[in-house]
Amino acid sequence: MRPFESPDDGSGTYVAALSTPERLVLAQVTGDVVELLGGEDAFLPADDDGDEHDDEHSDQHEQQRDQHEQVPGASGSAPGSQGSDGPGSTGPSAAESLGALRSVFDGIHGAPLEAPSDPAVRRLLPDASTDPEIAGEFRRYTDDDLRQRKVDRLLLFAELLLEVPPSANESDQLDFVIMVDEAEPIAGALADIRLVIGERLGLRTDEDSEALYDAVTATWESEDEDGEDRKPTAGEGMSGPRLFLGSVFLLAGYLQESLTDCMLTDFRRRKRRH
Amino acid sequence: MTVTTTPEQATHLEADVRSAEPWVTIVWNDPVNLMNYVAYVFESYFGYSQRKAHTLMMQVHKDGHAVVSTGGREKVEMDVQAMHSYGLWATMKRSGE
Repeated sequence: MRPFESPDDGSGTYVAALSTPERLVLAQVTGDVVELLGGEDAFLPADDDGDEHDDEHSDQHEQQRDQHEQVPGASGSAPGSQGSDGPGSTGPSAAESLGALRSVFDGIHGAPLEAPSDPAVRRLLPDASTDPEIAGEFRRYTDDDLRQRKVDRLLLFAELLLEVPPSANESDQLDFVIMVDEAEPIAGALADIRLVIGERLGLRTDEDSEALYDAVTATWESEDEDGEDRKPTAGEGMSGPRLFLGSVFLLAGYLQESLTDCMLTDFRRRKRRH
Repeated sequence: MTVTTTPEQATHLEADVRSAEPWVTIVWNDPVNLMNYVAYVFESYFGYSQRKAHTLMMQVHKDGHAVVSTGGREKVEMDVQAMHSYGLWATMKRSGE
């Protein structure tokens, strides 16, 4: 990975570099977050009115299940492993699934919308107030729009990640080019990806994040060098899924931080001119 | 065309203004969001100066939360929605509550 830089050549782009495995891993995790936002139980109105509408509800459950199966990535396969019909078809079909899923509930007005049961989704769509009435009303009016916005920019990120043909050489750093006006959506997608991974890793405090950073980077150091600075204890217990998720968390963090630096620099420059 | 305001309507208007209590947007600290990203959001979305954005960002980081905007309920709702869209954790409440 090479962090984002602004070439400042009038091309209106920000450029980073990613290896093919980094692209595939990021695209897969991005697909997982899309799935979380699109195939989740919170789409259903709360079943809090007794048994009266049981038939209606089970119909909805069935329709939801049908839609869910069409969400790409539900099978757990990497988007990049789908060959020629992978990246191109991922975007539209997920958006269509989401639209179809939504249309199931289009006729229901004022139905209470429960907070998402998955804490990671709840972090992406948090309660807007400690007052349940205000939080509920806010959710009812904003949930659709927020989900759609988040899904759209995640799909944009996945599309851009898979734009370049994979390289046979895994260590090849291929340019990852985004247009300046794509920067904010991409930074937002990276924020959402990191929020979901952070929740899965149980990060609760700033200290947790620092400890994760130390533990993941310690595993790099122990690979790279045997010198005195090596901190074998910090990396202990970091293996398997936790190390994988931690590495993706850091990778997404480097990308988001460098991209945000580019955006801040350009934003402040534009502001000074006006 | 001119619109005449009857005394009754004027009274009504005053009552509305009084009952429209200002609301506040609160952004909460979280272990994930990057400091420069939070600064970018405060500068670009709210149009705050670099200094004000930095002060608010440090307040969130150190105190755990900060009031980042105030206004009528609709305005604050819009701000909270924008913060959620950026991935920041924000809530709204009546000021003084």
